[in-house]
Amino acid sequence: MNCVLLGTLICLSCAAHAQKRGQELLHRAVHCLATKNFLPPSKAAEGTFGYLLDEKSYPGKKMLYVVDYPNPSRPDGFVFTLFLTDHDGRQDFNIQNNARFALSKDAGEGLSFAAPPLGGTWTREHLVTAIKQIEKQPRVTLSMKNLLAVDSSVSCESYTDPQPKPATK
Amino acid sequence: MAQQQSPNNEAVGNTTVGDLSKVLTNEIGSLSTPKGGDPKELQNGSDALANALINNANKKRPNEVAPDTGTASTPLAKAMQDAYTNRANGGADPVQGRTFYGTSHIPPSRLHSRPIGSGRQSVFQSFGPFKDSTSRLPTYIYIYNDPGH
Repeated sequence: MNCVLLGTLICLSCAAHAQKRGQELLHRAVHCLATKNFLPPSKAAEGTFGYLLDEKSYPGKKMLYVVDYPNPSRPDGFVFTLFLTDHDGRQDFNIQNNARFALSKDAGEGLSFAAPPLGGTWTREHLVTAIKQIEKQPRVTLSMKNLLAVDSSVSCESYTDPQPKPATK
Repeated sequence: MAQQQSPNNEAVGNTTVGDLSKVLTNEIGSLSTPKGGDPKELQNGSDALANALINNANKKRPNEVAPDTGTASTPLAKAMQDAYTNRANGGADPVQGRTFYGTSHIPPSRLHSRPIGSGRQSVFQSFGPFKDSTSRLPTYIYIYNDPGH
Protein backbone atom coordinates (compact mmCIF):
# COMPACT_ATOMS: atom_id res chain seq x y z
CA MET A 1 0.00 0.00 0.00
CA ASN A 2 2.84 2.33 0.97
CA CYS A 3 4.65 1.47 -2.27
CA VAL A 4 1.56 2.40 -4.33
CA LEU A 5 1.28 5.72 -2.48
CA LEU A 6 4.98 6.43 -2.92
CA GLY A 7 4.78 5.54 -6.63
CA THR A 8 1.80 7.85 -7.10
CA LEU A 9 3.62 10.70 -5.36
CA ILE A 10 6.71 10.18 -7.55
CA CYS A 11 4.56 10.17 -10.69
CA LEU A 12 2.79 13.37 -9.63
CA SER A 13 6.12 14.99 -8.79
CA CYS A 14 7.59 14.02 -12.19
CA ALA A 15 4.51 15.33 -14.03
CA ALA A 16 4.67 18.62 -12.13
CA HIS A 17 8.39 18.93 -12.89
CA ALA A 18 7.83 18.22 -16.60
CA GLN A 19 5.02 20.78 -16.72
CA LYS A 20 7.21 23.41 -15.02
CA ARG A 21 10.08 22.69 -17.43
CA GLY A 22 7.68 22.90 -20.38
CA GLN A 23 6.30 26.25 -19.26
CA GLU A 24 9.85 27.59 -18.80
CA LEU A 25 10.62 26.55 -22.38
CA LEU A 26 7.41 28.20 -23.57
CA HIS A 27 8.22 31.43 -21.71
CA ARG A 28 11.67 31.55 -23.30
CA ALA A 29 10.30 30.72 -26.74
CA VAL A 30 7.64 33.44 -26.50
CA HIS A 31 10.34 35.86 -25.35
CA CYS A 32 12.25 35.09 -28.57
CA LEU A 33 9.12 35.40 -30.71
CA ALA A 34 8.50 38.84 -29.17
CA THR A 35 12.15 39.86 -29.55
CA LYS A 36 12.12 38.93 -33.23
CA ASN A 37 8.75 40.68 -33.83
CA PHE A 38 6.89 37.50 -34.73
CA LEU A 39 3.99 38.06 -32.33
CA PRO A 40 1.06 40.05 -33.71
CA PRO A 41 0.74 43.55 -32.20
CA SER A 42 -1.41 43.47 -29.06
CA LYS A 43 -2.11 45.72 -26.10
CA ALA A 44 -3.32 42.79 -23.97
CA ALA A 45 -1.54 42.36 -20.63
CA GLU A 46 -1.63 38.59 -21.01
CA GLY A 47 -1.20 36.21 -23.91
CA THR A 48 -2.67 32.76 -24.38
CA PHE A 49 -0.39 30.06 -25.74
CA GLY A 50 -0.05 26.35 -26.30
CA TYR A 51 3.08 24.33 -26.97
CA LEU A 52 4.41 20.93 -27.91
CA LEU A 53 7.96 19.65 -27.56
CA ASP A 54 8.93 17.30 -30.39
CA GLU A 55 12.12 15.27 -29.99
CA LYS A 56 11.25 12.62 -32.56
CA SER A 57 10.57 14.22 -35.96
CA TYR A 58 14.15 15.40 -36.53
CA PRO A 59 16.62 12.74 -35.37
CA GLY A 60 18.96 14.27 -32.77
CA LYS A 61 17.15 17.62 -32.69
CA LYS A 62 14.66 19.26 -30.32
CA MET A 63 11.80 21.23 -31.80
CA LEU A 64 9.18 23.29 -30.03
CA TYR A 65 5.85 24.13 -31.61
CA VAL A 66 4.22 27.23 -30.10
CA VAL A 67 0.68 28.40 -30.80
CA ASP A 68 -0.38 31.96 -30.00
CA TYR A 69 -4.12 32.45 -29.60
CA PRO A 70 -4.70 36.23 -30.00
CA ASN A 71 -8.38 35.73 -29.24
CA PRO A 72 -8.80 32.59 -27.10
CA SER A 73 -12.50 32.36 -27.91
CA ARG A 74 -11.82 32.09 -31.65
CA PRO A 75 -10.63 28.88 -33.36
CA ASP A 76 -7.60 30.44 -35.01
CA GLY A 77 -4.09 31.39 -34.13
CA PHE A 78 -0.46 31.69 -35.10
CA VAL A 79 1.86 28.71 -35.06
CA PHE A 80 5.64 28.84 -34.82
CA THR A 81 8.40 26.25 -35.03
CA LEU A 82 11.55 26.78 -32.98
CA PHE A 83 14.63 24.57 -32.86
CA LEU A 84 16.32 24.30 -29.47
CA THR A 85 20.04 23.88 -28.96
CA ASP A 86 21.89 23.70 -25.66
CA HIS A 87 25.56 24.57 -25.71
CA ASP A 88 28.01 25.91 -23.13
CA GLY A 89 25.21 26.44 -20.62
CA ARG A 90 23.26 28.56 -23.10
CA GLN A 91 19.93 27.73 -24.69
CA ASP A 92 19.40 28.87 -28.26
CA PHE A 93 15.91 29.25 -29.75
CA ASN A 94 15.96 29.37 -33.52
CA ILE A 95 12.65 30.41 -35.12
CA GLN A 96 12.37 28.43 -38.34
CA ASN A 97 8.75 28.62 -39.37
CA ASN A 98 5.54 30.58 -38.83
CA ALA A 99 2.02 30.44 -40.16
CA ARG A 100 -1.50 31.58 -39.38
CA PHE A 101 -4.17 28.91 -39.15
CA ALA A 102 -7.90 28.57 -38.61
CA LEU A 103 -9.52 25.41 -37.31
CA SER A 104 -12.39 24.36 -39.51
CA LYS A 105 -14.26 21.11 -39.95
CA ASP A 106 -14.79 22.06 -43.60
CA ALA A 107 -11.07 22.32 -44.31
CA GLY A 108 -9.44 19.20 -45.73
CA GLU A 109 -7.11 18.59 -42.78
CA GLY A 110 -9.38 20.00 -40.07
CA LEU A 111 -7.65 23.34 -40.37
CA SER A 112 -6.51 25.72 -43.05
CA PHE A 113 -3.53 28.04 -43.26
CA ALA A 114 -4.56 31.63 -43.96
CA ALA A 115 -0.86 32.52 -44.09
CA PRO A 116 1.05 29.43 -45.23
CA PRO A 117 4.12 28.01 -43.51
CA LEU A 118 7.45 27.47 -45.20
CA GLY A 119 8.25 23.92 -46.28
CA GLY A 120 6.54 21.19 -48.20
CA THR A 121 3.86 18.64 -47.42
CA TRP A 122 5.99 16.88 -44.76
CA THR A 123 6.37 20.13 -42.86
CA ARG A 124 2.71 21.05 -43.31
CA GLU A 125 1.49 17.65 -42.11
CA HIS A 126 3.70 17.87 -39.00
CA LEU A 127 2.42 21.37 -38.26
CA VAL A 128 -1.19 20.22 -38.60
CA THR A 129 -0.57 17.26 -36.28
CA ALA A 130 1.19 19.49 -33.73
CA ILE A 131 -1.60 22.10 -33.74
CA LYS A 132 -4.23 19.38 -33.23
CA GLN A 133 -2.26 17.93 -30.30
CA ILE A 134 -1.79 21.39 -28.77
CA GLU A 135 -5.55 21.96 -29.12
CA LYS A 136 -6.17 18.99 -26.80
CA GLN A 137 -3.92 20.40 -24.06
CA PRO A 138 -4.65 23.12 -21.52
CA ARG A 139 -3.67 26.58 -22.70
CA VAL A 140 -1.04 28.62 -20.85
CA THR A 141 -1.48 32.28 -19.96
CA LEU A 142 1.69 34.39 -19.85
CA SER A 143 2.10 37.95 -18.69
CA MET A 144 3.26 39.98 -21.68
CA LYS A 145 4.93 42.49 -19.33
CA ASN A 146 7.43 39.96 -18.04
CA LEU A 147 8.34 38.61 -21.45
CA LEU A 148 11.58 40.50 -21.70
CA ALA A 149 12.61 39.32 -18.24
CA VAL A 150 14.41 36.23 -19.42
CA ASP A 151 17.82 35.24 -18.13
CA SER A 152 20.84 35.99 -20.26
CA SER A 153 21.52 32.32 -20.96
CA VAL A 154 18.83 32.43 -23.64
CA SER A 155 19.70 33.50 -27.17
CA CYS A 156 17.25 34.05 -30.01
CA GLU A 157 17.72 33.49 -33.72
CA SER A 158 15.37 33.54 -36.66
CA TYR A 159 15.37 32.59 -40.31
CA THR A 160 14.72 36.26 -40.99
CA ASP A 161 18.11 37.26 -39.51
CA PRO A 162 20.63 38.57 -42.04
CA GLN A 163 22.69 35.65 -43.34
CA PRO A 164 26.40 35.62 -42.58
CA LYS A 165 28.39 36.30 -45.75
CA PRO A 166 30.07 33.22 -47.22
CA ALA A 167 33.75 32.96 -46.35
CA THR A 168 35.96 34.22 -49.17
CA LYS A 169 38.60 31.79 -50.35
CA MET B 1 30.11 5.31 -74.12
CA ALA B 2 31.08 5.47 -70.45
CA GLN B 3 28.22 5.03 -68.02
CA GLN B 4 27.49 8.24 -66.13
CA GLN B 5 28.10 7.82 -62.39
CA SER B 6 25.33 8.82 -60.00
CA PRO B 7 26.23 12.00 -58.07
CA ASN B 8 24.35 10.73 -54.97
CA ASN B 9 27.48 10.74 -52.81
CA GLU B 10 28.61 14.19 -53.91
CA ALA B 11 28.75 16.69 -51.06
CA VAL B 12 26.50 19.75 -51.01
CA GLY B 13 27.40 21.81 -47.95
CA ASN B 14 27.16 19.42 -45.00
CA THR B 15 24.87 17.00 -46.82
CA THR B 16 24.87 14.98 -50.04
CA VAL B 17 22.88 14.86 -53.26
CA GLY B 18 21.39 11.52 -52.15
CA ASP B 19 20.19 12.93 -48.83
CA LEU B 20 18.78 16.04 -50.53
CA SER B 21 16.80 13.69 -52.81
CA LYS B 22 15.18 12.24 -49.68
CA VAL B 23 14.37 15.74 -48.39
CA LEU B 24 12.84 16.63 -51.76
CA THR B 25 10.75 13.44 -51.64
CA ASN B 26 9.54 14.20 -48.12
CA GLU B 27 8.62 17.75 -49.16
CA ILE B 28 6.78 17.13 -52.45
CA GLY B 29 6.62 13.35 -52.92
CA SER B 30 2.86 13.48 -52.34
CA LEU B 31 2.30 15.69 -55.40
CA SER B 32 1.37 14.43 -58.85
CA THR B 33 0.08 15.84 -62.11
CA PRO B 34 -3.72 16.20 -62.06
CA LYS B 35 -5.90 14.70 -64.78
CA GLY B 36 -5.44 16.73 -67.93
CA GLY B 37 -2.48 18.62 -66.46
CA ASP B 38 0.90 19.11 -68.10
CA PRO B 39 3.57 16.82 -66.52
CA LYS B 40 6.15 19.50 -67.36
CA GLU B 41 4.69 21.72 -64.64
CA LEU B 42 5.63 19.23 -61.89
CA GLN B 43 9.05 18.74 -63.49
CA ASN B 44 9.62 22.51 -63.41
CA GLY B 45 8.40 22.75 -59.81
CA SER B 46 10.62 19.84 -58.74
CA ASP B 47 13.60 21.40 -60.52
CA ALA B 48 13.01 24.77 -58.83
CA LEU B 49 12.69 23.14 -55.41
CA ALA B 50 15.76 20.94 -56.00
CA ASN B 51 17.78 24.07 -56.78
CA ALA B 52 16.40 25.90 -53.72
CA LEU B 53 17.47 22.93 -51.56
CA ILE B 54 20.97 22.97 -53.10
CA ASN B 55 21.22 26.73 -52.47
CA ASN B 56 20.05 26.24 -48.88
CA ALA B 57 22.51 23.41 -48.20
CA ASN B 58 25.33 25.63 -49.44
CA LYS B 59 24.42 28.42 -46.98
CA LYS B 60 26.66 28.99 -44.00
CA ARG B 61 23.59 28.51 -41.79
CA PRO B 62 20.98 26.55 -43.75
CA ASN B 63 17.30 26.88 -42.96
CA GLU B 64 15.69 23.80 -41.44
CA VAL B 65 13.99 21.64 -44.04
CA ALA B 66 12.27 18.25 -43.88
CA PRO B 67 14.58 15.49 -42.61
CA ASP B 68 16.47 13.21 -45.01
CA THR B 69 14.62 10.15 -43.76
CA GLY B 70 12.99 7.43 -45.84
CA THR B 71 13.69 6.59 -49.46
CA ALA B 72 13.90 9.01 -52.37
CA SER B 73 11.36 8.52 -55.13
CA THR B 74 12.84 7.77 -58.56
CA PRO B 75 11.60 10.91 -60.34
CA LEU B 76 12.59 13.23 -57.47
CA ALA B 77 16.00 11.59 -57.09
CA LYS B 78 16.49 12.22 -60.83
CA ALA B 79 15.32 15.84 -60.42
CA MET B 80 17.88 16.39 -57.66
CA GLN B 81 20.68 14.64 -59.56
CA ASP B 82 19.90 16.63 -62.72
CA ALA B 83 19.82 19.92 -60.77
CA TYR B 84 23.14 19.12 -59.09
CA THR B 85 24.83 18.04 -62.36
CA ASN B 86 23.52 21.10 -64.18
CA ARG B 87 24.87 23.44 -61.50
CA ALA B 88 28.17 21.56 -61.24
CA ASN B 89 28.61 22.02 -64.99
CA GLY B 90 28.04 25.77 -64.71
CA GLY B 91 24.37 25.70 -65.66
CA ALA B 92 21.99 28.47 -64.62
CA ASP B 93 20.16 28.39 -61.29
CA PRO B 94 16.44 28.69 -62.13
CA VAL B 95 15.67 30.18 -58.70
CA GLN B 96 18.67 32.53 -58.76
CA GLY B 97 20.03 31.69 -55.33
CA ARG B 98 16.72 31.59 -53.48
CA THR B 99 16.40 29.14 -50.59
CA PHE B 100 12.86 29.55 -49.22
CA TYR B 101 9.98 27.48 -50.52
CA GLY B 102 6.57 26.27 -49.48
CA THR B 103 3.50 24.39 -50.57
CA SER B 104 0.01 25.73 -50.13
CA HIS B 105 -3.57 25.09 -51.15
CA ILE B 106 -3.95 28.84 -51.77
CA PRO B 107 -3.77 29.59 -55.52
CA PRO B 108 -1.17 32.08 -56.80
CA SER B 109 -3.94 34.57 -57.66
CA ARG B 110 -4.50 34.96 -53.88
CA LEU B 111 -1.01 34.35 -52.48
CA HIS B 112 1.50 37.08 -53.24
CA SER B 113 3.43 37.04 -49.97
CA ARG B 114 3.55 35.51 -46.49
CA PRO B 115 4.11 37.32 -43.17
CA ILE B 116 7.53 37.14 -41.53
CA GLY B 117 8.23 38.97 -38.30
CA SER B 118 7.32 42.59 -38.92
CA GLY B 119 7.51 42.28 -42.72
CA ARG B 120 6.44 40.05 -45.55
CA GLN B 121 8.14 37.53 -47.80
CA SER B 122 7.02 37.83 -51.42
CA VAL B 123 6.48 35.02 -53.93
CA PHE B 124 9.15 34.62 -56.61
CA GLN B 125 7.64 31.72 -58.56
CA SER B 126 4.73 29.35 -58.28
CA PHE B 127 3.91 26.01 -59.87
CA GLY B 128 0.72 23.98 -60.00
CA PRO B 129 -1.99 23.07 -59.30
CA PHE B 130 -1.00 19.52 -58.37
CA LYS B 131 -2.91 16.56 -57.02
CA ASP B 132 -1.86 15.93 -53.42
CA SER B 133 -2.18 12.45 -51.90
CA THR B 134 -2.26 14.01 -48.39
CA SER B 135 -5.18 16.33 -49.14
CA ARG B 136 -8.32 16.55 -51.19
CA LEU B 137 -7.38 20.12 -52.14
CA PRO B 138 -5.07 21.06 -55.02
CA THR B 139 -1.58 22.06 -53.90
CA TYR B 140 0.85 24.59 -55.35
CA ILE B 141 4.62 24.85 -54.98
CA TYR B 142 5.95 28.31 -54.11
CA ILE B 143 9.48 29.69 -54.22
CA TYR B 144 9.78 32.76 -51.98
CA ASN B 145 12.16 35.67 -52.13
CA ASP B 146 14.60 35.92 -49.25
CA PRO B 147 13.45 38.09 -46.32
CA GLY B 148 14.19 41.73 -46.97
CA HIS B 149 13.72 41.52 -50.75
